[in-house]
This record gives sequence, C-alpha cells and structure tokens, in this order.
Amino acid sequence: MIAFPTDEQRMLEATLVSMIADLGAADAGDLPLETWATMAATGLQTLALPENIGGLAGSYADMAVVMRELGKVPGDTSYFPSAVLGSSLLAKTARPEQLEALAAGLLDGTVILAPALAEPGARYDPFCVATRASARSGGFALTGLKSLVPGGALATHFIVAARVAGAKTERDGIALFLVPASIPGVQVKPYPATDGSQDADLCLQDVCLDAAARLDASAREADEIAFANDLAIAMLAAEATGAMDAVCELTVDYLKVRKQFGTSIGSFQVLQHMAVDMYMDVEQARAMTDYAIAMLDAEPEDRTMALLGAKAFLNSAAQRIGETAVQLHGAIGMTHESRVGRLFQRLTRFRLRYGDTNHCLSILAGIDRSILEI
Amino acid sequence: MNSVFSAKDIALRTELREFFRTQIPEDIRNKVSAGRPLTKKDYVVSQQILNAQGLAVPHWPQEWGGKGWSGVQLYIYTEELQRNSVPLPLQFNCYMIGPVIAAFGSEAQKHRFLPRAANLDDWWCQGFSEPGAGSDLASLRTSAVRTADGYLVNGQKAWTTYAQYADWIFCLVRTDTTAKKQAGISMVLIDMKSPGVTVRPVITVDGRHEVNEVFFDNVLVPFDNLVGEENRGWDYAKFLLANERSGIARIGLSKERMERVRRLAKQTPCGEGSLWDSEAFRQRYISVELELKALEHTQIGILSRQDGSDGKPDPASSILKVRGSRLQQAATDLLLEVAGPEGLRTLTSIADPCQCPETEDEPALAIATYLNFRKVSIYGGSNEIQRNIIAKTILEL
Repeated sequence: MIAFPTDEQRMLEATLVSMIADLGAADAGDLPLETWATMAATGLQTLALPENIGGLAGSYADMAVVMRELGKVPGDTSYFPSAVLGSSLLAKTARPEQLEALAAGLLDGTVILAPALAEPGARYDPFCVATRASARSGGFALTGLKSLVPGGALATHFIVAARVAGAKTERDGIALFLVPASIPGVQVKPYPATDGSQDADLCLQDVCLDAAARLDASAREADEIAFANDLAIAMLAAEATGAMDAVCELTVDYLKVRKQFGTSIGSFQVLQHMAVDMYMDVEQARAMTDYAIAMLDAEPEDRTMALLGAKAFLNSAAQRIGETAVQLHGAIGMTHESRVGRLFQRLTRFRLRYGDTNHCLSILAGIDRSILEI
Repeated sequence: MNSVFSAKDIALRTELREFFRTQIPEDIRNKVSAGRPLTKKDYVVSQQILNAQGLAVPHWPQEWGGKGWSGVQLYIYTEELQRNSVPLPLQFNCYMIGPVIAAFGSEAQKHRFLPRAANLDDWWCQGFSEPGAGSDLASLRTSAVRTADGYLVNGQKAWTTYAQYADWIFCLVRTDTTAKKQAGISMVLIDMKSPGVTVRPVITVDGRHEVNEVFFDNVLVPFDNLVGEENRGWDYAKFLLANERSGIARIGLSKERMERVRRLAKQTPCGEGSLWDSEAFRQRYISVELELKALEHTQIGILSRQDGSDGKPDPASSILKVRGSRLQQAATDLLLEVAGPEGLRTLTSIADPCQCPETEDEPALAIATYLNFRKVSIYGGSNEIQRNIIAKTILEL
C-alpha cells in the first residue's frame, strides 16, 4: 500500500518544526545539546519503545518524520543512536525485566543509548567483530575496540556486540550486551568533528558484567544486527532527505536574492537548469526513501537488497545535491557558518555511513536478482 | 514492488498480464521486444484486440469507453502493456487527439471520431512542429484562412511520425496573424486524402522511416473540423502535451528492456564466461536499475497524489519526462554494449524497413534502437524545455 502521511505524522511534523524554532535553530545555528532533553519532555524519544513500558510504540514511518525534520538543521542529537537504533534494538532483544529496569530512564530521557556494533577496520561488515566476551565468574568480561559509535560521547549505556564464539568475521557467535558507560574498564574517546557530531570510539578493557547484562536474542543476534544495519540506512536516509530538502530550498532562495551582472542570478538559464536537476534529485530521493522505509517490514532477504539499493541511489543523489548547492552558492557555500555548508557536511557523512556506493554495488552485483521485482 | 499496491490492484495486474500474454499475437510481441519495426497491420490488429475488451482507451471518459480507473490502476495497465511487449495503443489517437476531442470537441466530432480513433479505424498523426517551430512551437506559420467553403490551409509540418500511415492529421494552424504568437493559433482536423496534402519521407539515423514532412498546398478544410473555438488552439495543445508528459516515462518499457539486457548479457560470450560475469558491467547495469526504481516510486507518488486531488496534471510530471527519457536511453545504450562488435552489422533496409529479414538478429537491432531513441529527449517538449517549465512553475525562478 502506498503510505500517505497520517494525521498523527502531520502533527508530529508540526511539533518538530515548532520545537526546532523554539530551540532557536529554525533559520541559523545548530541544534543545541538540550535538544534531547526538550524532545524527552514530549516523549518523542520513545517511538521505538513498546506501550507496556510507557513507550509510544510508533511506526518506522513515524520515526522517519522526526529524522527528516531533524535532518533539516545542522547539529547532532542522540535521537538517531538512542531513540531510533538503540531503543529499537533494545525493544527487540531485551528480556522484560531488563527493559523494565531501564524503563524510567528511557521515558524521562536520562538513559541515553548508543549501539556499539562496528569495529576498526571492519568497513561496512557488521559481522566483523573481534571484541571478545569471555565467561567469568557467572558473568562476562568484555575486551576489545568499538569504533564510530554514533552518539557515543553522550551515551549513558552502550549496546555492545561482542563474540562469545566463532572467528572474527563469522555471522554466528555474536552476543549483545548492555554496558553502562560509567563502569570500570569502559573508556569513551570522543573525536572532534567540525559538523558537531557526537560520535566516539570505545575501548573496552576487562569490562566485567553480570550474566543479566546479556541481551536475549535467542540466538538471533546476527539477524537483529542485520536489521539494525538496515534500519540505520532507512533512518539516515530520512535524515538526509530532510537535509536535501533544506539545501534545495536554501539554494533556490539564494538564486532569487543574489545579484550579479545587475540581475538575480536565478534569471540565468544555466543556473536554473542546475537547480532543476537538483530539485528532481530531491524528489526522487524522497521517493526512494519512502520505499526504503516501507521495505523495513519485508522479508530479510528482500529488505536488505532494497536497503542496499536505496543507499547506493541516495549516496549519489546526496553527492549531486550537496555539490550543486555549494556550487550555486559560490564561495559562501563553503563557509563553516553557512547552513548550506553545514548540511553539505551531513550529506557527505551520509554517503560514508552504513555502506558507501562501492560497498552497496559490490554486494548487489553478486545477487542474481533484480531490485525491480521487490 | 508488490509492497506498495493494494490486493485489488495486484489482481488487476494479474488479469491484464494474462490477457496480454494470451490474446495479443506472439509474433507481434516478439517484434516489439526485439525492437523490430511493426507494420501498420500489426498496430491495427493489436489495438483492435485491446479495444474489443475496452483496453485501448481505459483512461478516456467513461461515456466514450473509459474504465474509470484510478491513476495507479492506469499505471499498472500501461506497465503491463509495456512489460509484455504489447504495442501501445496508438499515442496520437488514444493519448493526444482523443482526449482533446472528448474535452473540447463538438458532439458531432465526438461521435464521428472517438469510436474510430479507439478502434484504430482512423490512424491519426500530429501536425505541430514546423521547420521554424520546434521547441518554440508558438512560432508556427502554417496558415488557415477563412473562405466561403472553409479554411484554406497552406504551410508545412515537420517530424510527423507515421504520416505515411495516417488517415487524419490534427494540426495547429495560424488563424489570426495579427494576434500575439500564442493567441492566433487554432486546432483543425485535416483528412490526409484532401487534395493538396503531400507526404515526404524523412529517413533517420537508424535507417528507418518513421517521420515525414507534410505539405499543405491550398488544402480546403470544412469549418466543422475546427476543434473548440477559433484562436484557442494553444490551450488545447497545452492540455494535450501535459497529458502526453505523464505517460512519457515509459517505465514498463525500460523495465522490459533491462530484463533483455540481463538475459542477453548472460548469453553473450566474453572472456572465459559471459558479459554478465563482468562486475564492471553488472555495476553499471545496477546503477540504471536503481534509477529506474527511484523513478517508478516517483511516478507512483505523483499518481497517488493526483488520485487524491482534482486530477489536474502535476507540474512534477516534467520530472518523469526528463528522467524517464534518460533511462530509456541508458537502457538502449546498455543493449548497444551487449551487442558489442556484432552491433556493427546494421541490416535494416533503408528502402523498406518493414521488410527487414526475419533473421535479423538482436545485436544488429541494438544500434538502430540506440540511434532511434535519441528522439525521446527531444520530442514532447525537449528535456531543456521541461527544465524551463520546472524552473518557472515549481521553483519560481
């Protein structure tokens, strides 16, 4: 079925628009760090959590609305790592008592999650896990490095993928653990980022956990990790779509006001056609993102193929749109203070996250099936 | 794809697919699939089978044979026609002049022309472009002067597709030379058998005869053959072109062609294995597929927004024209590369392309199809004109 925005989604969008304006980031500036607390006051960060613990139990399309609106404004929040990826993974793998124990903090926003799945050198292979979870005195001891943890600098809890069995790149033998950021042996290393992103690397040295810290995926961990990867693509696609929308609007507005040779530069046909190509890319990117989100509910094989295809397409669109926006702005578009420049950073980051074009096309080229059939 | 359609839509798809595969003669469908030229008879046979089931003009008003389908259902119908290599009902009849007569024609014109257009008893061609009026269509100079007996038409039309088969031509003519460009244009229907009409073939780079020049030398046209009001022709032409654009993406056609590329690449020896074993080829192929997927969802989005609104053409349909034509061309380019050196043998006879030998193989057809498909970014308002339309109407630049 073709998904139209529901009334709730329209309200959600309006809520976000006014919230972003209240935070002072509607036209200029970044989303401030208190964005998370402001969102938590409305419960928006619980869309991925089940109703029985007080969550809003929203759909993926609902979350995508939030991601898209946040995507229009520079600045990182914990929404993607905690409210989307972390909460969704937790809701699918935590036992009732584990979820119950965190419920209060998740609902008031004091618990902030970050999935720590990737490792150095793994590129885009989510199953390349060298971090070990060794059995120790009725629990586990975790040792290893996790890299590029989204929102890692702000997280109170990590969801760590670590091996209980198997060799480094095996699909089986990976377990998921809930690791508080504050316990001994956990070292969080944020790295400076010009775009304000709050990612971090994680160094785990003999981190001792109770047996109860292991999330229970009934040996479906690999499936859940694969799903998290696809969910990440779809939600970052929604965020990128927001950035593309904003960049296109900013650029078209700029063409109308910027004057050179005694006239607005938007009157030049060559620039008009570049702007039109950008607009067409944005429209198609939106359509492909809607497809990606709809396909999150499909069978795993179809889902992963669809998400890889969508990512490859959107990577190219993000590149063309970002580069064209900067080119049409001229030098001002390259400045750190310009919004278009900041959103260009976001679009460039998007291309490198959860599958660059080479990765997506290489995998798709190995599947003897057409994406046009799914 | 199934994930976005309702069960009712999917049932319609299955029903149509079954009908097209079993009722349209296989030899005709094979010709379409291979890119061989069709004879006039092929078109007529196919369209009459469709029309007998109400499947030639399902998008027309219901009193003239339409089915009252939604935009999404019509999309499914068109896609199934294309994917099963059924010749499309003649565009000039079914998507151009038919809807114009139904919307603006007199009752007499509707009764006289619409049933025959739907059944391809009359073959229509389009008299818009002129040597001096291509993208700048409003510069056209063919004139129609009122006399006691009717309009006297003089002038020349260019790029007239299948004029050699046509019984009728719908023409834009200048009826008021004093008015501003667009304001003095009318639309008239001219019998191709009228004295003074001459058709001269133009052979294109693919070696085929599709287009013609049509000359009008003191051709007398009855007043009854004026469409709507005099000097309102530009409005009818805009209506016609907007309808044309929304069907122009031809996603089903590109899908069918991409399936052929895949099938042929697997059969084409290359090095130790087949061309399909080349990862470089597969990646380029996939990139086109992904763009097609994105266009398909863009189209469905536009259609479903239209189904929920007043049904006016969406200016965003210009996207479909620009991107859809590029993808049609990309698919023919891949076919050319599948053909490789075998594509150098062009066997199409210039003298009579419809007589091309049955043995003519697919690689030899690839180059003709590639060359022929340069047309899709030129006709129906060139892609640059489409960009002008988007810049003006959507971006307001």
